Amino acid sequence: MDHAGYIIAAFAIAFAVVAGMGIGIVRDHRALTRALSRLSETRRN
Amino acid sequence: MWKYANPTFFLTLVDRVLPWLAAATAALMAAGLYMTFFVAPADYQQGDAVRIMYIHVPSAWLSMFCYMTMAASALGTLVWRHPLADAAQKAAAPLGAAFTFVCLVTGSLWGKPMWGTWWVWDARLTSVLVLFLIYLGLIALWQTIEEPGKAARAAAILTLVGVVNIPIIKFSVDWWNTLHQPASVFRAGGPTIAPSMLWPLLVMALAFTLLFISLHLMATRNEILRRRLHRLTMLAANAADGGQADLRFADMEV
Repeated sequence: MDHAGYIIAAFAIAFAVVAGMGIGIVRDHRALTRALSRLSETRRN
Repeated sequence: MWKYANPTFFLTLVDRVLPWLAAATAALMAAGLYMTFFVAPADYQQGDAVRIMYIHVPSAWLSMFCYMTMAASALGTLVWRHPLADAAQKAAAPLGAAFTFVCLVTGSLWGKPMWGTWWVWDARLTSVLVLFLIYLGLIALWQTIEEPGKAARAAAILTLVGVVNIPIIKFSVDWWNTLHQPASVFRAGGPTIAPSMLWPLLVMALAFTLLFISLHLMATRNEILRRRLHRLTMLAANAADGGQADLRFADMEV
């Protein structure tokens, strides 16, 4: 495969960016649901 | 339509739809990557470097699609002042910036072996760079303005002003003499690209679109939860202070 370095770099960067976004959003969601449930527990107490 | 714009209904809908969307995205992405590397032929001039097109073009289309989604949400914010519209717009901005970044970087990595340079200040490349800067400007605007209602209106106005850049990106290759090739898929007279390359490109574009929709739904859900958490925290602080806490912005939340 000619220009393999450029092709691998392009796909690797694209998928790293997309995966980073996905992981960030999932982590954010977990933190928010945890914080919301903690808050509702505090209010109940 | 208004039923779907209800934040609580939206959260239920996202929980139901997301697993199916994620599965469809993964399946299409796998098929698209297989077609990119094992079905699509090498170009007679560019050789295998043409395979960068299968990631560059979908991210370029999505960078504009995401902006048009934001523009539609901006109208929802300005006309109906619906909080879900602002949440959707705010959630889309980092995704749009990321896809535009991928478009610029993959374009640069394609340009170096084909044009002999990483970057030229031609109309297409420059207008996409301007789109990237608009995304960054919008993200900064939301971070800068403390009052959510004011931030939503300012971001909506800036988004609608920035829409002028989308036709400039699309038609820059026709209006000016550019190094970038002219449109070969969405053009009057039909695509000029060979079907053996067009189909993998369309599959990858569909996979990227589903990926964007999945991420956008997830990010919008996060934004709604973040606003609810903010509102509940302020109400709790108000109750603890005996009603003395600053609740100016609590009523702006979803």
